[in-house]
Amino acid sequence: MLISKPGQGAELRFSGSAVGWTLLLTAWILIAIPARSDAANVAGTNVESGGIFGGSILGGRLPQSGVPEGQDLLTSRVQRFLKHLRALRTGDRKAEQPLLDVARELCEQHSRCDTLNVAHYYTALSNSELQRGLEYEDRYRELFSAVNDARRRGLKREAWLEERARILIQLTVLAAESGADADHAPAGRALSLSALLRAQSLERRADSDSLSFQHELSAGHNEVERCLAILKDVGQESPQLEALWVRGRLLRLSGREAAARTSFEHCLTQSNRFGYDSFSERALIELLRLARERGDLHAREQLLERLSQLRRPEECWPLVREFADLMFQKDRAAEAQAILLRYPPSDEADSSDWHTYVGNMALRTGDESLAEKEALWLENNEASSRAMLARAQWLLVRKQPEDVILELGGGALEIDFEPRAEAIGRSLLGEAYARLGDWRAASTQFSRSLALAEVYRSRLSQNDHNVFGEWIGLHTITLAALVQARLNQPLQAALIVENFQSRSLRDVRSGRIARQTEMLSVDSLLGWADAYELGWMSWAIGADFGIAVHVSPARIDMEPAWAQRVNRGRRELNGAARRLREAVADDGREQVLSLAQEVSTALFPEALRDRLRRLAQGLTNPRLLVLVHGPIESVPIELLLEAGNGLGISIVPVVMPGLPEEVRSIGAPDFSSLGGWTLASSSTGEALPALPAADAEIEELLQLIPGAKRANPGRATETVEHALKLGLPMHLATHLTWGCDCTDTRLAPLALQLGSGAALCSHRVAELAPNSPLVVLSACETAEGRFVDAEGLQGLTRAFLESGTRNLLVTLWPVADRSAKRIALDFHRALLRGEWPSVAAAEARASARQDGIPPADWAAFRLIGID
Amino acid sequence: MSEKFGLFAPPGTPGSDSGPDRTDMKAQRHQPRLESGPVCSAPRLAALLLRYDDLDPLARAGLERHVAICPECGPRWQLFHRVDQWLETAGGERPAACPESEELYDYGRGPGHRPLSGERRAELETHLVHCEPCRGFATTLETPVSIPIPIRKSRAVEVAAEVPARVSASVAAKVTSNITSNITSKVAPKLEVTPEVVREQPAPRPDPQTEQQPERRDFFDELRPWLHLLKPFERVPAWVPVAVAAGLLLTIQFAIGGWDKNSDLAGEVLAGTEEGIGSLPRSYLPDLPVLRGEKGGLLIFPRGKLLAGGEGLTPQTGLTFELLAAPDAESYRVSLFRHAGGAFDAGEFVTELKSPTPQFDAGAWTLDAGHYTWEAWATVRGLERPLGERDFEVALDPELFTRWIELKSLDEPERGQRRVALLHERGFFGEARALARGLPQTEKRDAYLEAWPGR
Repeated sequence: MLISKPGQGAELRFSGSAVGWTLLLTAWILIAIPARSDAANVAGTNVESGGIFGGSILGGRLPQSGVPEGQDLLTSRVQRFLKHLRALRTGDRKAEQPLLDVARELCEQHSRCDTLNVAHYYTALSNSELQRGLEYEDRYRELFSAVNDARRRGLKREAWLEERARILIQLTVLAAESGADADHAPAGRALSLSALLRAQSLERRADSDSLSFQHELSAGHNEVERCLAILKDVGQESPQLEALWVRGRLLRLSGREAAARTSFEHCLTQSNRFGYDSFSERALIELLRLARERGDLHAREQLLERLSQLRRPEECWPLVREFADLMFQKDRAAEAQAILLRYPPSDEADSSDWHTYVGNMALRTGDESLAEKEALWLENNEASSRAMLARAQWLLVRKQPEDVILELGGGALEIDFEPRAEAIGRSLLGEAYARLGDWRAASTQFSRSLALAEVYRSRLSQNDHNVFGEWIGLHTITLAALVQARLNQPLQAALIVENFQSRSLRDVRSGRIARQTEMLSVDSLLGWADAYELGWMSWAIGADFGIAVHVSPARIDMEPAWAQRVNRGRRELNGAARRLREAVADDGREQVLSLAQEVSTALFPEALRDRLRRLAQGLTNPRLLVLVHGPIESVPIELLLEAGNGLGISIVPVVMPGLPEEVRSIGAPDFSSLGGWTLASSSTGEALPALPAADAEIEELLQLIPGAKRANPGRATETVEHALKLGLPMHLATHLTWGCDCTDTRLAPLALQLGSGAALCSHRVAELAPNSPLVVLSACETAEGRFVDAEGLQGLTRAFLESGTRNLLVTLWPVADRSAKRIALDFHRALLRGEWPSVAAAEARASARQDGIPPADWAAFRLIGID
Repeated sequence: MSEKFGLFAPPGTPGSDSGPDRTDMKAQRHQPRLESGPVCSAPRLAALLLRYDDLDPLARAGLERHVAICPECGPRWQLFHRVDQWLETAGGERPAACPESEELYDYGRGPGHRPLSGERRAELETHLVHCEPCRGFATTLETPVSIPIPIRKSRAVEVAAEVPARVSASVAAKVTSNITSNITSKVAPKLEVTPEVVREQPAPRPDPQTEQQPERRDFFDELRPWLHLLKPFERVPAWVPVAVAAGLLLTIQFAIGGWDKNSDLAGEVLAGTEEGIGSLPRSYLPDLPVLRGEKGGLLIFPRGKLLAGGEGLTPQTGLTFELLAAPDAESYRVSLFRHAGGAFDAGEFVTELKSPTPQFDAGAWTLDAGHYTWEAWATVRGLERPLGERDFEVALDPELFTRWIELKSLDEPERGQRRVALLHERGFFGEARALARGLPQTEKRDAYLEAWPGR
């Protein structure tokens, strides 16, 4: 959703704009949902609980009246089934046989065998048992109506709490009485409603550690499990949807995200089976919430797509809210605001959400009057921690950091906020202190904010998280690092920049499952710097500004670390990278040069250039480890260092998307004599053009590299996978395609074609976990991947790097067959001369450039790894 | 004149369409209704000068008053008269044996041709047997342009619907006569959108301090080499001077900065078929590199550069946006921004267009030279999703015009193919594509159209 303009003009010298952290607040808003009144929410989400006769036994798409016989056989049979069931339950035993007959038809011809279970259950009951069952059901319906009445009357919180307590008692009594009787189906419904009321109440509470919270949670769990057991016993399947949905919510409240997800997914599967769209919608909304909480942007997009297939924006506020939030996350605040204004929620109870969102978007788009209006609305109508955060946000915009400290300081965060909200509150507080120049206080607040996020992250499955990028945000990380720079502790700034980005590179794994993340130490930062002639540099880029850090080797009399603010935000850098890449692709050489110089100036400030010049004095081909995070991963750094660095020296970039946990440069293999090279090409593809140069490339490499073996085209997959398992060096010259059947949703579905329909997918690479010294992926855009904030591009390259592969030669964009061959051969020739892989790649690029080959054909090649 | 045509008055003021001459609807429909800006804005002046003879006396007097006092338009005016005189002289030398160019066009069955009697057709055929220039010229019209162009599916997107390429007539004399009608039909406001205009804002004027000003070039200097090129044609058959005249007029148009997008001269470029002329040893279309994978992005055109003042070169109907279709899209929207070309320039909003299809025209194209970014959106199930952004540059390229004229002496299809290659080489991918669409269908042409440039 390509689709980014605003985000300009950070007005604060240190902290940029306050709007940057609206990302944080949005995260909090979504965490805090629902904030509507309990009564409204319960009634609003339980409308299908109206009773056994209303069709809820069988599913949501059943007609309530009049579809002619023969027009829709299923509809007609369902109507007949319900008619006979009603008659039986009111004592008409003649309805038994027709009921069983139609249930059999529904089972055999429509796969609705739950109707047979229901029919058998009720035909086994006596008339008096049926009668009592109806009476219990009436009582249940009365209680359900009471919830609806409360909603209709718009009960305030205290009145609702009183009414809710009364209803809960009566539901408990009903469940006990009905549960002991022959027709105990009403007990299941009563327990379901009771558990729902408890879940709704608990979701609004911030005292999750309190005894009363845990007691209520336990009661809810107990009820929902009993409910499911009863409904299973009586053969009612579709009424279980509500219980599954409530169970997921209770599990989420218990901190069992994985189990909650399973329950919602079960609910979704069953609701799809029964055509119960309303529960499909609810399950999707809850799954979206979980995806948001664990920072899984890709899952959010997928779920949102499914929700949009089910509901139109005008009929589903959560759809609008989630969509607007995703747009906002992608720096599309104006468009997000437009959709919010176009589709306001129809339910008054959602107003608070809507006003908060509109206010946020207004801040981001610079519409301060609208932002102020919405902040005032929240102040007058909302008494939650969310309102406090919104006020703090507004105060920062108004340049009143002292008031932010009054609002959020003094222990308010510890008392009133749940941990995730506290993390965001502390970030705001840190920014307020920073604006006042109190760097130490700011540092304390940011440290606590990041520590809280770390604690929350540790609860999640390590494989699909992105707490730092998606909900604590790069803004906090950038600010925290900048504060360290202001405290004259650039090494600490560098530590923050690296520790909270690209963490998957430091995950400790068991197979494909990440167990924990190693944290970097100051010693490891310095160790990495010593491994390269020019040390290493990195960036953290927030919404409105960023920070650049450099750590130098110890060989020279120079401060070991340096850090400086970068006055460009994520969207600006994304746009610049796109513009530069387009100019390269279109061969606009003059424009390439000017754009490269501009981007280079932004990313390599003069003070840094001066350091690099001093370090490079007297050296040939000095290497700089460039850690590319966020938008910078898409910037052709190689082009900048070739064409626009203005240094007057040649720098060889060694690119990595982040620091691995240990310094592995010592004991590097001799790349000139690597043994066991496996070569493979797929010169033809079924729907892809032939690659004559790819075949020729492999043929020439066979002659060039001693001992190299070419994979037999008929057994390419086996050969390649075997070599990867053994960690052998490999060179693939082929097509890259998107869209393989990737089982790992984190990695982009990229596939290297191996011929005869076989392909090597990114998830398969992760499974094989190759720890090769060097892999050449001579195909189109092999460095591409699915972008995850704070983690970077997740694709083939990442799969190799996480597995321990030391170096890869990859491409940033589609490359021409003939040029790829030339670059690949030059690269190997340089390797055989004994050059580092990074130097070999630089020489291959330089040779192509000197021969007048356009940058589209040489700047795409990147040596990614640790050299 | 200004009262009648609104040349100096803003739209809606007395003297514009609501003025007293409104009853003369036919005349008005053919007036170049200039929405805003001075008369000496290059394309507007060109439109007026080129149909000077058709202007009513009041308009003529107004124009003459203007050129008499305007240091910018005065020299152009003089040039126009010189060209006019040259045309009359050259036309007078036309041998009687050659048929009128309109007849050649009709004989070639170009789009919109008039039926010829069997007898006249036979006479023309007899003439064509002996007259090679006429034969070559007529042959180029015989093969219809094949449309639509296949586009290979890429990633999860579907084949974009192609707007049929407009086929234009190519007879030089027809050009001269059509210039007037085409220009007078150019009454659409800036960025008129097909099929639906959503919101329209005037394009920002370039900053005179920083922007290139195409109309300020010394067009006499630029015209000189072209006049030299025309000399060898002075003793060739009848239609040639007319064709040269059209070329010269085109040159003038280039020199003063614009050409009507509907000019039928484009048809001349379109014409040609390898089969009709005989098998060619090679194709001159540019080779696009074979890539080791798929191109990314949904935004196809415009990209690279668009030719400022070169609308008459190709059959492209102004500014055309071309996207790959997004699955389930109900409609598309494009926002256009202008910027200075820097890496971090956010751009100033120019206009917004909407369309139910992924390919749509912005109508009459009068974008100023400069850098532009377009953002595309697709509405899918009520939600508008971003498809991406892409830059393009509207640029002048005098060298291209020079080389374009040089290619005029070639036969089709070599000429058309070489012109596609020229446009491609100079980075004008959109124009090259539009021109290639009109070339006779060959494997090479389809391959070129299927694999659009860039990565």
